[in-house]
Amino acid sequence: MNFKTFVIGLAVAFGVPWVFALALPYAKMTSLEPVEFDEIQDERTGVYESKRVGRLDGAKHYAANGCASCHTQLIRPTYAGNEIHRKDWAGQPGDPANGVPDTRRETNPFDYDGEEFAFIGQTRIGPDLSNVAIRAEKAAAEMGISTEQWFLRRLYDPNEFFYETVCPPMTFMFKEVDAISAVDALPYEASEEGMAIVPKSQAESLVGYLLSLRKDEEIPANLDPRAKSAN
Amino acid sequence: MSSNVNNSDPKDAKLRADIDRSLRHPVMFFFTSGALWLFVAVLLGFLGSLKNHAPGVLADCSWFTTGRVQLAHTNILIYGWACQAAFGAIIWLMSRLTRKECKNAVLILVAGHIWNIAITVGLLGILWGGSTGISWMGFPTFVWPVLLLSYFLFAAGSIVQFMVREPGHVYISQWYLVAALIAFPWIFGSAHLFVFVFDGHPLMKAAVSEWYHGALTYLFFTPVGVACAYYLAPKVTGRPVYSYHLAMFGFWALMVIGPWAGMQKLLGAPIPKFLPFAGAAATILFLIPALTVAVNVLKTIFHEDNEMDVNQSPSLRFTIGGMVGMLLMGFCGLLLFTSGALRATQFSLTGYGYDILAIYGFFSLCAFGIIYFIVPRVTLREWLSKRFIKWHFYLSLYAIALIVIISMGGGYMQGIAQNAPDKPWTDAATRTEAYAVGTTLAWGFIALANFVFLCHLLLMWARLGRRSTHPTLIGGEHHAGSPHGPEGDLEKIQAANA
Repeated sequence: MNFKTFVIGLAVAFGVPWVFALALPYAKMTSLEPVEFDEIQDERTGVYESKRVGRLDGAKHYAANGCASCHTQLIRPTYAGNEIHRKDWAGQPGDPANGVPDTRRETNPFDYDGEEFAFIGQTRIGPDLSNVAIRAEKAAAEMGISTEQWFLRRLYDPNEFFYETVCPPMTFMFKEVDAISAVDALPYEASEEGMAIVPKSQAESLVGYLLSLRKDEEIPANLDPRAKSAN
Repeated sequence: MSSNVNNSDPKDAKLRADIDRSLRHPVMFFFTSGALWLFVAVLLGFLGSLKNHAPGVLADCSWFTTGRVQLAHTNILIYGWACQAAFGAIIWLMSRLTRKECKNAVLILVAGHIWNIAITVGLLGILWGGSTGISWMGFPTFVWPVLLLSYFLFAAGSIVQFMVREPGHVYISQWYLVAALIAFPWIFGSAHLFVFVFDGHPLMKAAVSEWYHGALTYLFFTPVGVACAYYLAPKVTGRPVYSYHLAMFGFWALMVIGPWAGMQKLLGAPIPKFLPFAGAAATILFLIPALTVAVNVLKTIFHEDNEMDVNQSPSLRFTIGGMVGMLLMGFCGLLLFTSGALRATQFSLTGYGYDILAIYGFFSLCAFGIIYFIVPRVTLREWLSKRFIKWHFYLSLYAIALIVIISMGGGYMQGIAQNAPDKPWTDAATRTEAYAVGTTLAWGFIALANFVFLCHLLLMWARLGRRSTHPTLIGGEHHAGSPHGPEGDLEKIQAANA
């Protein structure tokens, strides 16, 4: 084996996967074709545009604090996992008798719109966060507080809601201010009398990002393999 | 093997001694700073794992919040330790195998300093809260161009050495080294461009980052580890490599299979469907090169004539450990990445366990083997204590065994719990806890092992090693016939030249 054949061999061995598993899929995914609603299946027409509500600038705090080490953001199809059947993870199971539609669905490529990087995640030490805003909304409604407040309290003291959680308290994202001027203070005791705990801006933007993690808007049946097969 | 032909020829021995002297500072710089970072990475790993079952530890300190510690741990392990150990091994092996003195030691040292400064800044960046959050690309984005630049500064010399080598036989280790030298900038550059520079779909960026993870493992760390093993096995035993054809086959199998691996992490994500399956297939097929290389190296080592070397040479012992680690990687891949098992292992501790097995159980053991071989030659001192070497070896071994059983086996159980949708999520979470405790224990062992290693290496670096012509062996008394061959007489030759 001389050097020339060696280099050619390496170039082919590296080049083929680089082109077919990296460059081409990358190019293909960069310009995704818009998906249209189907008149018959969806009972409406037009091009689907994902409308995420929330603050996507909070994604950088999600990244920098390594949330993706323990949390995923992916609802896999049933050939790859069962989270579609887990309560509140993928949406609401339907109740045909009462006319409640099945809103559970897999992740689609438009779900990460507006983000720099899709935090699929490394492990599931904690639960999947694809629909965490929906779960938070429910939990907050039960407690009679706003969803935002629920998230803030959840970040400040995770053990308040889940006794055994290993999720670290993000106390450094909060500060203490004079209780008189405090708006939206957290119901925890500050270190001194007359002070109150309020979120710093990073906590607010992180919560804004978490509030955007809900997949319950109407999508075309073409984007949802489950709906497609049901019809 | 070329450099083994005239082992007793004084001219030849002088050339080897000159090469070693020319490389003393760069090689020792990479190894000692690497070992220092390894210790930091291990402590961070311990802390990160501890926080997975005791979240109250250092909870109020933003610098040590769980996610940041995890990111810092992984990135320091990869760039601080593994890369630097590989760089040290590459420059020394390349010089020895091409039989050329190193002419650009200063440039390499400069590159090494740039690399280390970049790592330090990167580590502080992660802990301060500037991480990108991507597991193996966690440093703040301004760090990676600096790392790439520093790589080119040091690697250029080794490439030039190879290009101007005297015509003749190219040894197996050299194929692997050249492949690794070419692969690193290709993988590192294209992955970082795709993720941080080009404006792609967020999902494909995630896919590329996972491909990078796999490619760096299989096309950089694996070839360097294998090159060390292929160098040490015949060198220490004095026997030729068992089969040259097998070596050739193993090499090309790795190069063809390696670049496909990695994207199995995205199974079920809405990217082109074949990508995760290709990644899983490549991870499974890695068994082929692993089996080929390990059988070839172990067959070279285990021969009735070599019994003494196997029992005594620290380098051989670590190399055997590394080869067993490589075999384990192959078999675990076969068990844990089939499409049936992958749904359980995709988001469990298994992936982390596999990484640790690859980086520590395979690559690092091979790297320790070559470090135990190189350092006495470049410092002209022998290792101080065979007990230190033994502790390092056995503690590492126990730790890896623990991690393999716990993270990989336990990770599978955890994955099954995650996939049982009718049981509450807390079940899966509590199942993790026991395994997290075990992993912490394993990191404790590794921390101890590497504290011993670090101290030993620092003493050698300070040239406080034994002044002796007898190499430090782990198996008992010194024998007249040194298993390292007449190279033990280096000092005499040095003295004669002075």
